[in-house]
Parts: sequence; C-alpha cells; structure tokens
Amino acid sequence: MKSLFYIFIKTIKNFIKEFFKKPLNTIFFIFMIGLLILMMFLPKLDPTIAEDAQPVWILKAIMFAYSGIYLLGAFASGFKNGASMFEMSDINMVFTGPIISRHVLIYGMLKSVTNALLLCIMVIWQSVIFAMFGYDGRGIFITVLLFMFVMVICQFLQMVIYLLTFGRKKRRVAVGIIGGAMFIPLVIKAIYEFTTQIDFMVAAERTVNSPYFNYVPVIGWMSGASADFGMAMSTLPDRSGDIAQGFVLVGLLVLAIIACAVFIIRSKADFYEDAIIAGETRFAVQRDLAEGNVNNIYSPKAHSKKPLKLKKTGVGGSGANAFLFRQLREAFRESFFGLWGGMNIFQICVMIGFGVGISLGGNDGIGELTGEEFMLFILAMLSFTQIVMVSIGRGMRELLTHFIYMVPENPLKKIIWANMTTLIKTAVEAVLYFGIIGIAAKASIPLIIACILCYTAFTFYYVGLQMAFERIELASKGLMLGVFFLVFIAFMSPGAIAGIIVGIITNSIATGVFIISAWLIIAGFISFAIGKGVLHNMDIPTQISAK
Amino acid sequence: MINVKNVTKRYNKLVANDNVSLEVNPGETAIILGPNGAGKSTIIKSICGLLKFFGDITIGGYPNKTLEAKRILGYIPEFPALYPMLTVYEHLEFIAKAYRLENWETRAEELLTRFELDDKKNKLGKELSKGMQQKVSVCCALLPEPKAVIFDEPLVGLDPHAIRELKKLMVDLAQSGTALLISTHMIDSVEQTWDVCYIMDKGVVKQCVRRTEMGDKKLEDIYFEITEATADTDGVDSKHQMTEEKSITKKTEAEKSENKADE
Repeated sequence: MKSLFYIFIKTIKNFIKEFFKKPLNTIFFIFMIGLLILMMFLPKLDPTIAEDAQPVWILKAIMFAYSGIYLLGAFASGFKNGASMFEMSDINMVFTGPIISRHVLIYGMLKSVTNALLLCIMVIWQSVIFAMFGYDGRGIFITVLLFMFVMVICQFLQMVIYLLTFGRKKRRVAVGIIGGAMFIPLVIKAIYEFTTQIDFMVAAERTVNSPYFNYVPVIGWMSGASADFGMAMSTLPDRSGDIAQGFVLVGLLVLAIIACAVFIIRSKADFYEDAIIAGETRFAVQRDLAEGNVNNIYSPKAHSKKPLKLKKTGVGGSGANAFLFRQLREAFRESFFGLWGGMNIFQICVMIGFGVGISLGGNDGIGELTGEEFMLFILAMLSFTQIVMVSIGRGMRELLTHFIYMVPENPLKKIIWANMTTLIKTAVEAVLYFGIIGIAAKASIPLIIACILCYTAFTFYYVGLQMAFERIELASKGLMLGVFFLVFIAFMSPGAIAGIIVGIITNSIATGVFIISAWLIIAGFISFAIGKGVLHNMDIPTQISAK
Repeated sequence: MINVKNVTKRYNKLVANDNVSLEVNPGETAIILGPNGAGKSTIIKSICGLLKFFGDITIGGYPNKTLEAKRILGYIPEFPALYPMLTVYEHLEFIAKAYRLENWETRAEELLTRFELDDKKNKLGKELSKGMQQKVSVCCALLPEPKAVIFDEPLVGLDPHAIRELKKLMVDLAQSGTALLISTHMIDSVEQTWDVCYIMDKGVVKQCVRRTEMGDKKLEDIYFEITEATADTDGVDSKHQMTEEKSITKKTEAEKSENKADE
C-alpha cells in the first residue's frame, strides 16, 4: 500500500510542478482564482446585476442537463467496458507487483477521481453565467464542489454498471430500465404541467421547482442543492434558498459515492483482465495519435468488431480530387447517411424545428423581427455554431498522415479537395436550413439563395483560414486561438461592412448578403492559397505533437 | 538520385539533425544506422518533405518538395497509417487515382501476390494486423514505380515470410536501378543488402562506410566502435555541444537570411 501511496502522491506533485513550469499556466491559475474572488464581490461592485438577475430555475435546468450528459456517458461507458482507471504503466508495474488487488483497485479509484476533479475547475470559467442568476463566489464554490461529487459518482458508476452487467445484453437492458425509471416521476410531472398550463414558461418553471426534479438521483440532487445553497447565500434581496433541503441533497450525493465505492471494493470480480483491456485500448489511442495514425482515432467504426458488409467498392477521381472520392467512400461506410451522423441529423432537425416553429408562431413578423430579418438571425446563429462543428473536419485530419504530402499534385488543389466533403456537407445543410425555414418565414427566393451561398462561403473561408493558420507556430495554443479569431474577424470585416452599406443603400437584405458571400469566397481562396504552404513548408503536425 | 546537403533540423532547442549530408545513387542501397534518438527518422521525414529544414535536398536532381521529385519518390513510414474504412485494394486504387497512374491493375495484383495479400484484397484497413498494414503500406509506396524509395524501420512488425520477401524486393529494386534509403537500428536485418552505410548518433552523421572499403571488418564492429566511443565521451561532448549549438543557431540564422535573399 505504501508503494501505491507513494506513486499517487508523487504523480500529483509532479503534475503540479509541471503545470506551474509554464508561465502561461500560472497566469491562468491566478486568473481563475481572481475570477472566483471577483464573482464573490461582483453583486456589490455592480448593483445592476441584482436588477437584471435571471430566475434560478433556468440555471437549475441547465445544470441538470449538463451533468445529465456526464451521467449518460457513465452509463454508456459502463455498458461497454467500464472506465479505464489505469494507465499502461500501472498495468505493467503495479499489476505485476506484490500488492493486494483490493489496494490496487482503491488506488485506481483515487486516480480516476483526481482526474475527474480537474474537470470541475472548468465550472469556475462559467462564473459570469452563475453571477447572472444571482450566485456569489460562495455559491459558485459550493457548485464546483457539488459538480465534483457528480464527477466522482460518474467515475464510480461506470465501474458499478460494468460489474453489474459484464456486457450481457439482458443485464444491460435491466440496468437501462432502472436508470430510465429514475426519471418517470419527473416525466409524469412535466406532462401534467405542460398539459394543464397554457404558458410554456410557467409550466417549465413549475416542473423544475418541484421535488420530482430535485430528487432525480445524482443530477437532480446536484442541481437542487446548488440552487438551494446558491440562493441562500445570494446577496440579492429577492433570493432565498432552502438550506435544509440542500443538506439533504448533499447527503444523498455523499451516500451515493460511498455506496458505489463499497460496491466496487466488495465485488469479487477479477478486474485485472478488464482493466488491462481498457488500459490497452486507451494506450492504443494515445499511441495512434503520437504515430500519426489518426484515422483510427477519428473514424467512429475503426475499433468496432462488428463485421461490415461492403455493398459498393472502389475509389473514384483522378489527381487531387481522389481525396474527395476516398473520403466519401469512407463516410458512407462509417454512417448510413454518409457525411451525416446521428447527432448531425438530430441537430439539423432541432434547428429546422426551432426556425419553423418560431416562423409560424408569429402573425405579422417574428417577435420584433420581420421574416427576412429572422433569416439573418438564423444565418448568424448557424454560422456561429459552424465554427465549433467543423473544427476537426476531414481536411484537417488529412494533414496528419503522409499521403497528402507525398501525392504529386498542386498543393492548393490538394487542400481544397481534401476539404471538399466539409463544403458539400455545409452546402446540403444550408439548402435544408434556409430552404425550409425561408419558406416558413416567407422570405424572398433571392434571400434564401443568398443565405445558402453565404453560409457555405462562411465555412469555405473558415476552413481556408484554419489551413493558413496551420503555417503559424506560436508558443501557446491559447494565444494562437486568440490571434486566429482576431484575424478571422478582421479579414471578414471589409465584406461585412460593404454588405451592410450596400444592403442599406439598395434597401435589399439579399443584395447585402450576396456581397458578404462574394467577399467570403474571395477571402476563402486567399486563405487557402496561403494555407497551401502547409503541405511543403511546415512540419507534419503529428511530428510536432510527438516531439 | 537522393542528395542531402548540409541539412539541419531543430525542434526549438533540440538539434535533431545537425548538418547532415548523404547521397544515394541509382541502383544503390544506402542504410542509416543509429541508436534510438539518433535523428534517423527526422532526416527521412525531411527527405520526404514532411518536415521543414535548413539545407538542400534533391531527388533525381529536383528539390524534394517539387512535384517532379514527388513523382519519383516512394516512402514507407515506420508506422503504417492506413484508412480503417478502406479495403486493401481500395488503398492501392486511391494511390493509383491520386498519382494518375495508368494500367496500374496488373502491378497492383503482382504486389498483392508477392506480399500474400491477394486473398485479403477486400479486407478493411481496420481488420488488418500491424504486419499486414505494413505490407499494404509497402504496396502503396511501390505502386507508382518510384525511382527512389525510402524505408523507415521497414521490418518492424513483419512476419518472417514478409521479412524475406521485403529483403528480396529490396534487392530486386536495387537491381532495377532504384535508389534505396533504409533507416534502421537492426544491423542484422540489412547486413546482406547494403552498399553504403551512414552511421548517425545525436543528430550527426558520424561516419560513412562503403561495403567495398570494409575489408575484413564487420559493420556491427564499426557501428559499436563509433556509438560506444560517443557514449564514453559524453561528458566531454556536452560542453562542446553547448558551443556547437550556439554556432548552429548562428548558422541557421545565417541560412534563414540566405533563404530569404533567395526568395
């Protein structure tokens, strides 16, 4: 046990030492602490916050959904192979050492908890959001602690579910049903409120503030306790929280942690074999990344053991466009819908549903917006989400293996064709989004076409600039990101300004959007032209990360 | 065919290749020998155009990053990076299409048969073992019939049959006039095939040995003489290295300004 304690403490010490070796990390740490202190005094410094503070039930719902994602992940991981609590170094050295296996298990649990806790610090990053709901620093601090509890439970729950099911289908179904049953009272309550209340917001508020919400295991306890403590400690005059209930909910979280830990430690299962498989899988991913074998990491079916029926075979194209045809062949083997996965389709349906729902809801325009202005709002919103969605596109992945560098074709053509699947995907989505929402919002045909063009051109420009930035090496990734977005906005601005001016002069939104699109296409080509140097004047990115 | 002149490659403060020069003629098999971390893979990747560097590299007389050079260069990386959702045959088809090869099918079949992959044509990349993936990687590199082929640790992960076939193939390639450059740290694996050997250590070519000039000496003996001597003088070297690094920094800065002037 002494040896395990030594490794555990030493690893943490070394991590802290390494972390503070980089001056930027130290600055980041001081910034986070400063942010927390600032939040503590923010309501006093800025009294307008008290006037503008939003109702806390909205935050409760957000926290519920956010931690729900982790809980769902814990179930999914538990059904597969449990969490990988061990590194390859543990497997090679600790497993083979003369140490009691239960002690090894406790060591693994402590390690996984430490890793999970690091994630919680990110909650502080969201301090401003909490402040908007009336939280002060103490409330935020308690929420971070509560989120830590959820993370620990999720870590342990993966192992518990794995030990309960061992990958057997019937047991998985049973555990899944029990997991789903936890939500039944809340669902019944929600159905009741939404069918009896006319106002959507009132129904939502009544559902979230009900005990059925607070007592949903783990995520309900967490969000409920956070709201109770956050509001009880709030300095805003109109806020109050039920501290007694908060303590009960925290107690439930602690009990859940103890129950999971006791179950894992007392289980008689031989976890070594499973831990080895999980550890090796994790190690294989790290190795693939270091060796530049990224195709295995990003392909969703690369590690699937399920045999795949090959309906069509062959790769088309000639020269640089062979990259496009190869990517299409791969995409249709990875997903029935090719370039679109299940989550993509869900997102498209939600966005279209949202756009159409709001468009059809208004009689003389949508809220304060006209149909055409609403199209602009949708265009801006979708373009913003696109920034997140295309960050690890197939074109970027192409840069990580040697083929694209070795093929004797014009580098500009190569990087454009390598990114073509992203552009095709965006164009098809643009037709769906703006075609359907445009009809619902009664927008003019030229504006619908302009929005489709602008959305696609925006992606073209964004991907092109990403390629151009691959040529720049800065000391810090954070600095790189900051510079990227500054350049991104600055380079886009002339087109945007010209579009707005022309739109106002001609009194036509469509004309303005066409101008912006034209500029984005030009800016995209310029970016790609600069970015082509990445294929003959830079280090292959995997080499950089390996060093 | 492959000409490397005064190549220096740095990763921040680390000098991975320090003023490396080497040459491989048509029909010649050159090997780069060296311990782990000697800078073998770095010089290989620089030759293939995957890294930026200071110095000159030409393939068949063309700068290595030109299309002409890429057309006649084949590269087999240390770690095969295949596409998991493409079949073995589709990998070759992709290379054929990307390189605009004509009548490539017969050669593809020959390569697949030679490496015993003909019955695995429809297997996906993800279904192959590492050794099989390495074989596909070799087939992909050789399909465009390159005049210069670079192998980075080619025998790692291969089964005995594949090793034998690859060695035979290397001999055949050299006989047909192809220039071969092989990086390895396994001396036995290349004992029979090499013509010229560059022994590298700490990013520097310590010695160039030609088989014809070897006499009774074994390559292994020369290798250990050089690398162990370097290890013995490590303490002394480290002092020199500091001064060398400073001079390299100055040199690379001078090269940078020269390059700018060329542009």
